[in-house]
Amino acid sequence: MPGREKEPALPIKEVRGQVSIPYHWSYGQALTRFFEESRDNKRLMGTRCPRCSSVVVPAARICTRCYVETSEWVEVSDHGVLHTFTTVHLPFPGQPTEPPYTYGLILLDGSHTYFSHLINEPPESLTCGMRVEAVWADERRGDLFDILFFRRETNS
Amino acid sequence: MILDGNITIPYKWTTGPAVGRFLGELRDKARIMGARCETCDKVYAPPPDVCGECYRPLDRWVELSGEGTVVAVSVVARRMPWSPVEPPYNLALIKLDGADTSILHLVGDEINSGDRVRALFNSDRAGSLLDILRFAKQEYRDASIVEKSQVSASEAAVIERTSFDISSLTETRQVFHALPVLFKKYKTDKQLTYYFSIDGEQWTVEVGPETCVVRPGKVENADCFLKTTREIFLGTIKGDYTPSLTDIMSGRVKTNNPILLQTFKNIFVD
Repeated sequence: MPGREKEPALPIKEVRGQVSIPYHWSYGQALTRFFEESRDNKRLMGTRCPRCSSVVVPAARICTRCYVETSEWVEVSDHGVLHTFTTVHLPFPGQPTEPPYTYGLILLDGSHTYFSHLINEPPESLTCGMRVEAVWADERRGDLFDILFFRRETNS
Repeated sequence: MILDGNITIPYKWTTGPAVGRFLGELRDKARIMGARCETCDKVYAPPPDVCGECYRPLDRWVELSGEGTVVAVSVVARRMPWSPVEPPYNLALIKLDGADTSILHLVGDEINSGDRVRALFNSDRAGSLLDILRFAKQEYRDASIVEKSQVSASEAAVIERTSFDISSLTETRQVFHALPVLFKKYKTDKQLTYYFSIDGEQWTVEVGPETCVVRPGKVENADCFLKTTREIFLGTIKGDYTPSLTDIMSGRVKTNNPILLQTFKNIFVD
C-alpha cells in the first residue's frame, strides 16, 4: 500500500468551527446587591461618592470619577433622560438581540452616570434629551436583562 | 452573586494547500499522506506548506501505511471546551512509519510508549483529524475502518464519563497514568522512590515536595516497594479496602515500609 502518490483526493480548503468559552463572573460586593435588588424588587441601586457626591449606577464600590470608596446606597428612578443613542445593523456573536436594534445611554433620575441599555423605539422617532422609562421582565435572574428595554416615557 | 455565561466564537480556517490535501485524503480515501522535502528528505505528517528547516515548499506526496510507534502517552483528566471526547482520555504522540514527525491522537487505555499501533478510521468522515477515531493495537488490522457503534465498551465508557473520578478507574495502568494529575504538593518533604509490582505489572513513582514522575518498569533500591494483586491495590487506592494482617501474613501484600505506603496515599488520594 505505501508507495508513491496516486490519484489525489479533493482538497479541503476551509474548516469551519466554533470556539465555546464558558465562564463564571463573580459580581463582587456592589454589583451583587445591585442585581439582587433588580431581580427581587425591580429597583435600580446606585452608590454615592463621599467626595464628589455623584451617584454611580450600576452601583460600584469605587467612584468612577474620584477613585474613592463610595459610602452610601441610593435608590434611583427607572425613568431618565436619553443622552445619546446608536443603531446596530451588523450581526456579530454575543449580541443581546437580532439586529437592527438601538442602544442608548440613559441618565437615570437621581444618578450621575450613564446607564446603557436597549431602546425599543424606531430610531427615527428618538431625540437626544427625550424621557424614557424601563420595562421590567416578569422573570428576572439578576442580570442587565432584568430590564427588557427602555421605551418612550408614558405619562402617568 | 455569580453570572454564568458562555462566549461562542464561530470561525473559518483556511487550511492552505498541504493541510487541505491531507484532510481531503483522510475524508475521501481514509489514508494518511505525508509530504517529503526534496532538499533534506524529511517527511512530514501532517504536512506544513513549507519545510520547517529548508523553507522549501513540500510538494512530493507519500502515502503512509497508517501504522506507527507510540512515542509518548498522556492522560487528559480535565475537560476543556475543545476536548474531542469526555475526559479522562489518553493522548499519544505517534511516529508513523515513513514519517519523521509525530502525530498527536487518541489511544485506548491499553496503549503504552513503544507500542505498535494502527489508525482506525471512522466510517463517516468529514475531513478532520477526527476522521481517525483513534490509534489501536495492530491486531485491529483487518478492521481499519470501523463504525462508531463498534467502539469497544471500555472506550464508550470513557466517552460517557463526565468527570475525572478515581473510583471509575478499573485498571492498574489507569491509576498510574492518573497519578501526576492526582499529585498534591508539599505532602512530603523528602524525595521518595516507590516501586510497585501489581500482579506482575511494574511501575516506578518518584515523588518530592513539588514533583511527581511516573514511569513503567522496575527500579533498584526503592525507598518503598509494594507487591500485591490488582484487586487489593485498586481497593486500597479507592479507599474501599484496607489490607489486613492476614493479607500481609499470607503474602498477598508484600512491602518493606507500610508507613511510606500511607504517605503515598496521603500524597495522591486522601
